[in-house]
Amino acid sequence: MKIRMQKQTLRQLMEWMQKDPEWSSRIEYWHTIEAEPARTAPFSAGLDVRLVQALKEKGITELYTHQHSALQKSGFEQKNTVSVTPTASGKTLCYNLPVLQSILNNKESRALYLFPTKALAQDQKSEINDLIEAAGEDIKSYTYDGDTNANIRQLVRKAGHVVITNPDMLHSAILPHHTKWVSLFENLDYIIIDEIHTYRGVFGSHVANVIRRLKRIASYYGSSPVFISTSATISNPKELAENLTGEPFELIDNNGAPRGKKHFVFYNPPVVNESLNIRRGATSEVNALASRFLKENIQTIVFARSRVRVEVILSHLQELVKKELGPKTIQGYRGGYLPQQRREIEKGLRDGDIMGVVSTNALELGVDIGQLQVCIMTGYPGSVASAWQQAGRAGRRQDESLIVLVASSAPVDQYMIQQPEFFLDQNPESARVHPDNLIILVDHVKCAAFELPFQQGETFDGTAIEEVLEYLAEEQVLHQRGNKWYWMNDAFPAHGISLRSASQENVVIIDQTDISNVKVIGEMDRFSAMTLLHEKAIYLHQGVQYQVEELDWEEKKAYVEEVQVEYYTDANLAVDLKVLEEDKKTACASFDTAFGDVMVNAKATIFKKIKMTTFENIGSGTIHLPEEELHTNACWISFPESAVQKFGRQPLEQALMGTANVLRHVAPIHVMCDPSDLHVVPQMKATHSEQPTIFLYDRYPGGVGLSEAVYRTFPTILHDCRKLIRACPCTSGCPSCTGSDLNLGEETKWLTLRLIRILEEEQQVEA
Amino acid sequence: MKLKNKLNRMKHHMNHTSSDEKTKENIETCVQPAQDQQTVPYLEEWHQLHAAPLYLENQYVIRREVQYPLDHYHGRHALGELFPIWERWEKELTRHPLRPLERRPEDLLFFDTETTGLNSGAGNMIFLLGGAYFSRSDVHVSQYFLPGPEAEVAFYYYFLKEMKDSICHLATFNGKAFDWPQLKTRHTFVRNEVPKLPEFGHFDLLHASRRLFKHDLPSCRLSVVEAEILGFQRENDTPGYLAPMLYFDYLQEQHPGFIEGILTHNEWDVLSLITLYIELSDRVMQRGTSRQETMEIGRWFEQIKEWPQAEWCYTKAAESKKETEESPSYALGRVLKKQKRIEEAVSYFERACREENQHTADAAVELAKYMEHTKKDIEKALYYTEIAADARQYSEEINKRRQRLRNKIAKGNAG
Repeated sequence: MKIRMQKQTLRQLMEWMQKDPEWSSRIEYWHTIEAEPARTAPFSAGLDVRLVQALKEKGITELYTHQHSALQKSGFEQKNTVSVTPTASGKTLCYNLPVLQSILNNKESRALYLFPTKALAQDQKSEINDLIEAAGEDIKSYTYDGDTNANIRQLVRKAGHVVITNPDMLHSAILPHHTKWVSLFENLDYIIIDEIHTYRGVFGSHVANVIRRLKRIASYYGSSPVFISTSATISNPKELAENLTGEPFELIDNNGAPRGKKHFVFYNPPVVNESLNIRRGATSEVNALASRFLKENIQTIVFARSRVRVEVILSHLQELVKKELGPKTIQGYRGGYLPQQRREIEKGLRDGDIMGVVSTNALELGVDIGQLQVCIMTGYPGSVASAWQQAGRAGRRQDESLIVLVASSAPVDQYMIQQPEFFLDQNPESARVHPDNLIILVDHVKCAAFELPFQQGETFDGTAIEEVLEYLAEEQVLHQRGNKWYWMNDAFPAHGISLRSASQENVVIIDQTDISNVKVIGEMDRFSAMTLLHEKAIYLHQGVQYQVEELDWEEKKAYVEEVQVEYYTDANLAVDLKVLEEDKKTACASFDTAFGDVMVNAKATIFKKIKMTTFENIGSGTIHLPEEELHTNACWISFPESAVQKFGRQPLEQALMGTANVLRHVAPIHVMCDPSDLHVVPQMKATHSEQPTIFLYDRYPGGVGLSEAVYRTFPTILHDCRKLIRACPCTSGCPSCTGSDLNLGEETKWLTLRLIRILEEEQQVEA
Repeated sequence: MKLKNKLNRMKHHMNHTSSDEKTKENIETCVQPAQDQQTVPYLEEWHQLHAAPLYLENQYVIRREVQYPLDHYHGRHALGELFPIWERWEKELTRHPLRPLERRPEDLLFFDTETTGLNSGAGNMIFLLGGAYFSRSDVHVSQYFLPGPEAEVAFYYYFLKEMKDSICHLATFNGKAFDWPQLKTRHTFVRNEVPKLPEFGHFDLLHASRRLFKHDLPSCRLSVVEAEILGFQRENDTPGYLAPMLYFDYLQEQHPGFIEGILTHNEWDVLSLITLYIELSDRVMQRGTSRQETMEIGRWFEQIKEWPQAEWCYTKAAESKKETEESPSYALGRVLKKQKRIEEAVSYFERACREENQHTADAAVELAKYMEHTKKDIEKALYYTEIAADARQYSEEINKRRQRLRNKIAKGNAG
């Protein structure tokens, strides 16, 4: 018989972390969140007895307060609600109860569920079916997506009480064929939008327009559905829900699910190169930490940012703990795994057969994996909301749990780890949509006209579109007759419009590493492709390096091959910015900020190969691509001559570049977007004013509200820029703060700080 | 006009699949729907095309009517041949998808549509509903033309009202998958203002043509079938794919000249449906004009479980020496087995098994099943399974069967 050593508990391990001199020195901050007991309410008197019975059968005798509120508001009072709930708080009852109640009342009643992904839809189908089965009623719920068998599609259309689908399917398969869905649209009482926080930026703006079309069709068939949505913690759930649907919402934020005590630890790997401010890699630290917990049989989830990173950590962990645990007890989880495989991993985690899981953000969304004790993040996941979602994976109900954020050398990570209050105190990011982006709007007006002609004077859920209709008639897409605008084109508009891709004419990225298995691995808008997919560029996809072998600009195809190199490429974009219209302006003593329409003419010129560890320039080449034009929104700060005189031209130039570099890191965090979605361009002589100016523009044609948000929150962003620079331990500027461009001098760091201080002070006076 | 300027600026970011780039010059003058007779544009030109408006409230639809005598030849067949074909069908006793049941030739509508696109979405409009139907003395072609998208109520109202007797029995070319679903889609928009769509029977002649001609023709498009089978050659035809563009041009200009070609195209389509129905019926009733065709007709009968008819066709095909894709012996065995004539079936399976073609393995499996379950002869069953395994590259099913039989034999030997 084997003798097993007494395993250490999580509590003991945490004490060790705090006491061990080596480990504790790397802990920048230890934050504790106290436990919360459950808050419940009894079943409402109006709740159908069959549902009460079904819930009791499942061991539910009372509702959590937020579930109760959702039932009350959306079920009995027919109001639109958005419930903000952390992971595993039983949010599905927030919508399943009102929906089933309504179907039990009236067998004709229908509901449409929208989930951002197919996998989630499958999960939810089994969940609602469990409840239906327990209620012993004949209520049909079906998923309707690309995988739905052709022979049951008709059944779903005619007889599905609950149709579970995703926005893409709604856009290209349901709405354009609404005449086949008459029984759904005539009786549509509820529209459920789960994980509403995922609908932001370009995707969200598309989805908002799909919902405008959905409402238009529903109203054509005489129904006016109630919306019920759920969201992870973001700062503006109500606003997002209202912008996404064009309807007033009630916010439900009285989460009643219990929560155990949580420890949130900010861990910074030790510095290995003082002058360059380079720290030990996050991955190896994560390996060491995770294996320590796993060896003690403590269920642990590790989040990593890319698929490759997941695989690397996974193989290390399996190796490190193979003596203590079998390799099967630690699993990877990421996109690309088969659904069946995923289901098995989820079950293994719930049953406790699987001790550890290494995952990409695929596990952020509401997939049920039961309670884990420890969550380790390999680097800051990119947004506060995302971090809280990942943190929610640990200690889901009663138990004490530990969350460790292991910082990487990336500027954002270093900023977060040294300013834990930014993360802990500040509101999570707000999610924005910009449904009236002209290009997106026009796309969906076309789809809507295909679905149903527009009446003269009709708005698109409040947005005046007369001019868009006239424009489309001139383009011979629509035809005006009498007081209506009709679709008059032989195309099927929804097929040319993808909700998830940024721009219409994207460059497709083709991996030809394996000649026998050439495959498309992604796509990128034209504008970004100029600097990221030029020939010889090193393109990173899910953490794997590829070299671009050929860029066929005519055909919009980039052929790439996998490589392993020690450098990345950085392309220079010669940008000419013209201000077309200034919509808003704020004037301060020594500078102005403004927001408006710009035209960007950009031409990729040369690229540099930069060594990853030292940021040395180790080679370069020219790029031969035509100039591209982009019409978009931008905000900008400009400095009049008087300010230039006061600050000095040379110093101002340095400070401008430094500030731009910091803005590049900080602004995307605030407006919740990918850094590549918001371009920052400093110019000493702007075309429109001849003044020194920093532009921030939306990379998506027409703009999606990013630069507008920057314009509105400029003081906060500046404040954080200053904090980032000050927190950076370098002496005269480094890539983590003001940048490492060769043109920058020794004083850049403090010049930048001085400039930002001026900006901040004057803005405060203004405020 | 700020927004419009912006739209034009951003033009290259958008992707319209606009039919042509050149924008018509005087688009500003948008056309108003007709209020009364005087405002139907180009009325005289319509009359010359044998067409005239029908009014419904403030809408109108254009109806074009043409008659043909029964002895009019459209290709190899005269239209009136439908009547003798009908009589022959009435003498047929077996079921067949092309056999009209308890109907008169006058009940049938040969039907085709022209649409603004080839997709099946809600925004794809039908602008021309064409039908040919018989009286005792003539063939009538009636075409209902949509003068503008605002006139769909009048369009469907007159079509459904006037065709209500014959619309219950349609003969189309791919109508099951395209024309009828699209009609249902557009009908949904006006369903409260026009007659209901009837329940209906349907001869889809594309389906029938594919069955009979797919081995002989490069494609089963109607124009190919016309040229190769029906002996009808179109002269100066306006190809169907131009229909959307020509209709869009018509909408801008209102002159019937733009869609005259489409009206003729559609007229030929429905006339060809008549002679195609005659031709297909004739071939089916004489059980094929070639060995291959006889096989196909047999297969058709087999699918609708008319075993004796299928058997007859396969037997006839088996007598001929010409190569067919499927072995008649195997097909015959299959049909006999369905009729529970096991011993006869076995003899054909044995023959198929010897023929060494693509059905050798299937026939051998049938024989193996027969040996194992009916004859209880495991050794023989294994023998045929081995033949099947040789004939087919790799089959999980055959391997399993072989393993199972081997185990059985081993066990039998042990016991």
